[in-house]
Amino acid sequence: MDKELLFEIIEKIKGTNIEEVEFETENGRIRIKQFIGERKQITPVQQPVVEIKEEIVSSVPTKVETKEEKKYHVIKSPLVGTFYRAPSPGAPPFVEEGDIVSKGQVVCIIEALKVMNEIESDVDGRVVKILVENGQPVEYGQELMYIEPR
Amino acid sequence: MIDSVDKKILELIDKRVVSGEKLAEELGITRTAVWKRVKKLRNLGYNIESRGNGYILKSRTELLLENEVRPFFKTSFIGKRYVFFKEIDSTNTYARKSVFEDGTVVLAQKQSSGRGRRGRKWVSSGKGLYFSIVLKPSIPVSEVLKFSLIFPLSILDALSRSGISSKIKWPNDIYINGKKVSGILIESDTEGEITNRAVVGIGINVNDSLEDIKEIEDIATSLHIETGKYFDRKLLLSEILFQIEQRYISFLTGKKDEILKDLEKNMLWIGEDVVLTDGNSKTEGKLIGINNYGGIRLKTENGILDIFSGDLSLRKVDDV
Repeated sequence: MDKELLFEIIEKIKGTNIEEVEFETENGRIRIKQFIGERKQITPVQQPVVEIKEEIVSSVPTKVETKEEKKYHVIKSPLVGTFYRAPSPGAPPFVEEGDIVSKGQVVCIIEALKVMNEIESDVDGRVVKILVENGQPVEYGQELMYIEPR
Repeated sequence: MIDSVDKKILELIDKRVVSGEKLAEELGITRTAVWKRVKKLRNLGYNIESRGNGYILKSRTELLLENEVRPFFKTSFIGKRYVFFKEIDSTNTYARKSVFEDGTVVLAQKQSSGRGRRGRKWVSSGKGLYFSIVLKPSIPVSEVLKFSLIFPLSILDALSRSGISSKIKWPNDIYINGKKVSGILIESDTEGEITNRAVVGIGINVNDSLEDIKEIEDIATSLHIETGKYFDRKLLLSEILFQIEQRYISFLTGKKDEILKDLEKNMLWIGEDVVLTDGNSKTEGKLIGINNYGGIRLKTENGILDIFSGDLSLRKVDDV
């Protein structure tokens, strides 16, 4: 194992808020940890083997996430189309803000080419915010709703 | 509805008189049971005449019962399960409520509340074809648009085999001489990025007279009205299912972009000035064609626009 490399990594992460670096060489797997202060709410993300350089570059900006994004699950539009909150005009909406939803429950329709795509929630939780108006066009990947997972 | 004993009766009395006694003997049932079954068959629309103490089948039923349509099917999995209703609210609603295997066809002689896009009504006179197909493609949702084009193209091909030339009004209405003859409503379930199930509802005006579609005669027509002929709905259904299965298999095995070319070749109003209405928004422009995803491409005052939903109509001269 190249010690120089190890020292270099330690030097690089010192003073940053990177808590942990793990990587793999042909000789094995190395994990470097540092104490960065009070543990905040950390989501248990499975970190695969991380490329050191990338980790250093990318980890700093990711900390500037908005609070909402972190706390809530975002339902995004899987396609370009028109957003509908109810199965047909005049029918009650699938969900309202504040409603409890379960995984697999239909929360809205995105229509494209006269195909009514029923979009299901992929988590159990509560609808915190609906971001798009009924009948509005939506883009691929556009955020539709925030769900607070439970 | 019709079991193997009924089928046997229909077979035996087809074009020849067979006595009730003989039927009872052949089928191993009582004469009363024979009589009851004949009564049931008559109620289902079979024209069975009594001759002396025997029966003869003069004509078959108009109802698209499974035993009537099955012999014409040329498909391998579409229609393998076939569910028939004399009358139901909507075949799509029914097909979506239950768990059906891939390829199931739900057909109704009449729909009491046939549905179109966004709560619109589909008029089902009883002389057309109204059915839904359950498909489980498991494709990325990004491919659903191309997938949805399989259906209008298949109907167009089936009609063309009956000598009828038609066009597709984007995205999936079938038009003959400027009026709608068939409509499609697809309802799909998308979890994450994968579409697991699509219920494809198809309505076609076949033998409807002008009187039958009076309330919509300005915008709708039927195959009969356009040609003056009557069509065998069993043959038409079987041909449509066959065309759909062919295109669907070829889609799943990778030939996805052919669909876009085929649509563009058979599309209504290319090169003309059109209006696209979506809710309260209206976009005017020249219809150039379709984009790589199946959306429509318009040349507008603000440049070229790709649009994925809405109702297309021809811009009238007095709109200009």
